[in-house]
Amino acid sequence: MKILVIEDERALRNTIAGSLRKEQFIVEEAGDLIGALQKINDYDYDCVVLDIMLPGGNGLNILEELKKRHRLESVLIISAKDSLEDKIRGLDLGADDYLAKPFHLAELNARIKSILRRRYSAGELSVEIGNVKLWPDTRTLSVDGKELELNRKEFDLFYYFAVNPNRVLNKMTLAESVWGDHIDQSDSFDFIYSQVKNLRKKLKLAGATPEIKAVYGFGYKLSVN
Amino acid sequence: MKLFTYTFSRISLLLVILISIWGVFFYLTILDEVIDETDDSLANYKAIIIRKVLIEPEIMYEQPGLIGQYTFRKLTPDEANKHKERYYNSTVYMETEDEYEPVRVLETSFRAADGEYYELRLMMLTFEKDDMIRKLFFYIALLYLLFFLFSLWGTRLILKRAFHPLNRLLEWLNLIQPGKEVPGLSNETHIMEFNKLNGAALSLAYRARKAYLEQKTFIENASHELQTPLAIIQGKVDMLAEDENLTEQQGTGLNDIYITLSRAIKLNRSLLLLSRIENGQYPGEGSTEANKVVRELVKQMEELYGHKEVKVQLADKTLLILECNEELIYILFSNLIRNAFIHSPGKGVIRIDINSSGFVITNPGDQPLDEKLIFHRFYRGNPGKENSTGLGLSIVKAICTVSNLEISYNYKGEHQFVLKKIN
Repeated sequence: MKILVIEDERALRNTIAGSLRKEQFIVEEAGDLIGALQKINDYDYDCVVLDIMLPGGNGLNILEELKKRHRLESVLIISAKDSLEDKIRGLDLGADDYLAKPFHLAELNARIKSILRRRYSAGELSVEIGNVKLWPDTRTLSVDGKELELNRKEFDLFYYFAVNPNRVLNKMTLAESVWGDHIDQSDSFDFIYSQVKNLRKKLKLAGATPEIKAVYGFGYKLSVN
Repeated sequence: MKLFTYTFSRISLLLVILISIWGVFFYLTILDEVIDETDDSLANYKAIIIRKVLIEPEIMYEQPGLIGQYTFRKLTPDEANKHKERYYNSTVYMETEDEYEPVRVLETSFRAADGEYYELRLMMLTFEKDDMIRKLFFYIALLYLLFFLFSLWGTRLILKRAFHPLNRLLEWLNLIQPGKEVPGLSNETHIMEFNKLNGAALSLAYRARKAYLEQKTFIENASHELQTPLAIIQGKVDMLAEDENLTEQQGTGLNDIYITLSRAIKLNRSLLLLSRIENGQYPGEGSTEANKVVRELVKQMEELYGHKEVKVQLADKTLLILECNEELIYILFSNLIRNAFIHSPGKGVIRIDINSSGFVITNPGDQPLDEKLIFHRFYRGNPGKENSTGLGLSIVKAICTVSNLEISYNYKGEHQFVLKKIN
């Protein structure tokens, strides 16, 4: 899978690219509008991560260009503006998703995978991890083909782990993924702790191969062998 | 008080006083003039009679005429010396009418041809004068009333017309809203002051619009400038945490950075949210059923703060419909309900009461908060809560302001927030 990251801030671009490479994606980078248009002109990508504010012009021009040429690239907009008008305009122009800066790399990862899954899986939108298979749309999960029942929050948590396997996830990142933006994350640590504990127990009992490990002082990690 | 009412009432009052004074003065002058005329007639009459008496003394003993009655009386030289001519009002009995009629009397003295002194007492009936005065009074009153009514009507008309441009300007000023285009102003007038006022209002509106746009741009730029570095730091911390060789101590340190960073991010987002709400960038369309939002939030918070074993008593039988932006309503209730959960002691009871005109949330707490400061930015009631942004209630307040709602706080042994619809 090939991804083009268009972001003018070099440090952020490198971080995003590095994080995506870890997920075994092939990543190319562009730092301005002209460079991005050249890349798009010369190559095909599976997904474009697009910053709206770019030196040389508005990032939405790239989106318009892609649509004009009937290109199939999925587009994920990342923007510092986080304004409703921008969001609506971007999605109207055909972007697949919109992520406001600053974001967690795990969240970016989850969004990209979700976009790509929708694009390439013909009908069956499932995620497989070890001997566990989950269907985000129907919110069901099975271990070795046998259905395992999780409550809503446990499912949300596991889904987040599953799209970010072998990555260290901070407690706060996990809390935000489950609760959204309006929640005071620091108050949710106890909740995350008990939910992870329950989830671990259920997975272990069902004989799942992926295992949630604590990374001391920081968070958790789903390790898959 | 309306400017029109004020001006009109003052002018009317002035007219009443001035016309009344003038009316009384006019009436008294005319009255005086009438008496003066009568006295002149009496004096005239006196001269004629005395002249006649000097020639024909015998008429002193004849019957006097019908209109002017007169009598003579002999005076001693002593009396004559002291006698002074005087006019006065009196009455006289009229046999024909069988009643007393008003008369004007002139008493004077003279020395007749026989060298004796006589007193002449002349009377003139004045009922005609009374009649005249009555008529005079009636016409003055009528004139007074008509003049008063017509001046009021005229003043009213003139004032209405004069204040018309001012009223139009006020209507126009009401149309101006922050963040919206300045509406066109067509308010032609010949009155110089109003023309100047039109110009000043228009230029103020344009300057306000410009300042608003500049401020908006500044906030957007500031947010952009800040969000990107924050995103970089967050990405770097995420990457560092992936390091296999991370010691527990480094992990804990990294976690502290992460938490502090999240706070900065949240603070920045809250400030942006606040300025967006205040700039009216959330369209206030649609109506939201608050009961549903509250139920959903209570369920979430109960899960989230399950370890505190806080109990919620929810009275939501009455439907509360709020005519404002749904996202804002969600943030509003989320902040209020979360606050109640965070600040309740373990096993406390939160009471939520929803009625058709508002929402009341009560939670236990031993220290009252400062109700004057509580909705200010960065006010922290509880210094121990270092993770709070100090913006939650400011956001609540801002949402209320743009959504026609009113929020108030009171403490009666418990914290209570009351949300009310403004009609």
